[in-house]
Amino acid sequence: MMIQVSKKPGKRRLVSLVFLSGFTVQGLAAEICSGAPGDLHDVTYSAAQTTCTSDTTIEAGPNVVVIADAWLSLFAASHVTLTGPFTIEEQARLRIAPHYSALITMNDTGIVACADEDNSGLACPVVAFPGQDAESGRDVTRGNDADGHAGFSFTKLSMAGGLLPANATNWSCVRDNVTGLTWEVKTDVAGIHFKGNTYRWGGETAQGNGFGAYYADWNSLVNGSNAEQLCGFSDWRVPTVVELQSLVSYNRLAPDPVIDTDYFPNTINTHFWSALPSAAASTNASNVDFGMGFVGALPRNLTVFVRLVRSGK
Amino acid sequence: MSKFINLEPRYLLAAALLATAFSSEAQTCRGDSEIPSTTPTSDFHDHGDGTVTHKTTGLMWTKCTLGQTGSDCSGGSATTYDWSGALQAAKVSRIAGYSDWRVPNVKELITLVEKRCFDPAINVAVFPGIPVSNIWTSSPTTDFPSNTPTSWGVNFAEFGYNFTYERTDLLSLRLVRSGH
Repeated sequence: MMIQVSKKPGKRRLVSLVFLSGFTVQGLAAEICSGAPGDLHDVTYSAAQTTCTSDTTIEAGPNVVVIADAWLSLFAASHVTLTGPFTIEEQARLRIAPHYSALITMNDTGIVACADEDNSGLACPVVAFPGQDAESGRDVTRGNDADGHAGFSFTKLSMAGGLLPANATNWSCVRDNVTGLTWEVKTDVAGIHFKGNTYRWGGETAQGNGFGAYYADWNSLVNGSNAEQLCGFSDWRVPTVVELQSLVSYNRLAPDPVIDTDYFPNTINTHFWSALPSAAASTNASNVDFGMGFVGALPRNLTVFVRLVRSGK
Repeated sequence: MSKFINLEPRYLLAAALLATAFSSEAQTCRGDSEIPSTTPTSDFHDHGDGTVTHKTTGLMWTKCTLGQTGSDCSGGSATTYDWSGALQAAKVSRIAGYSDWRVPNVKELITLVEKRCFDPAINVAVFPGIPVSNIWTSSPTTDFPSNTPTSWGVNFAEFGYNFTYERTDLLSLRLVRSGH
């Protein structure tokens, strides 16, 4: 990201900086402000904090004044153009920085109740316990149970990959509409997707190499799913820790598994492997526990569960 | 007249040097081929004002845990809070002029875990505050009524796992903002 400061029409100086403070930019060429929330020209900023964000560019000025003790933040993905006169009074702050569109969209936690020192399951807010998990995020803004608990949004997929209604009784995969990931659904009949199948760690799509021994137990699941084109896809893999934890719904109480069982039936309430080794010991690998939602590590020779994922359209 | 000062690279360099010095004392990291980095430095933008944006998630974090100061977090020392104190500290924080800081939830905080490192399990070039402690989340656990009430925290000091901590326990705090 670059910041362009025009001194004369058609002449731009390219600089990179974090913020400017306590001085006045004067005599710059007049340009029309556009591309930012509101019109950033002929305006005096007196609020304690104003933030403008753009996925493209921000053009600010002329005749902007940021008064003492006020902050104006301009975050743009491409560049910010300042056009004078542009005054930042002493003790005021103009902050210019890159804006990054998130590469991944995260699931919320599924927690929809607040807590105090001794109790859980309380209505929010709770005095002396402000700003808890349940007070922000998708579970609040998109708390619609029609497509999965609270902020989760799932779509059932047929074996051939067709989209199914939420009340479908026979489905093979679930697409997570928030993260964009598609997940294998376990079955209660014999076969590679059987809920009770367990594996030692390692095999196709396991990450890293040269640090400890890799088993190959789950190759039957990965290769078998690709061969049968599970839900129309042949790029199935074992998930990362963050991907696997994205499915955890932390509102569940044991012995229920910490996942939306309306979409992920046949989930055993215990450990599932991630594709990642564990740094602490070459004999361990990373896992997520669907009994409580712990992210941790286990010995690779322990046989635990695997749920496959795929990404992309 | 206009004046422009490029502050950022200087801060980054200082931070990187210090991080290297500290990490050689205790932290263990596997090679990138042995375990791929989950939080490479290139995934972050250091704003130079005590805040860092994780480009992967779009979340903005405080570079230091609360109580640590300076561009390399070597000033002061990490403050510890019980869960109530942590939530209240976030609410009144005005770090870098922002007024919408909050305690991260358990999924957000886990995204900062560097899986190829432990003791601590964090990228110390980006988050140089040492020692790294165990850190609160805003997520209470759903637990049996008969159990001691707990909330989730992440033990960055060791392996970056999430554990249930009693709400009266004293943990450190790293704040988050949505966006940017």
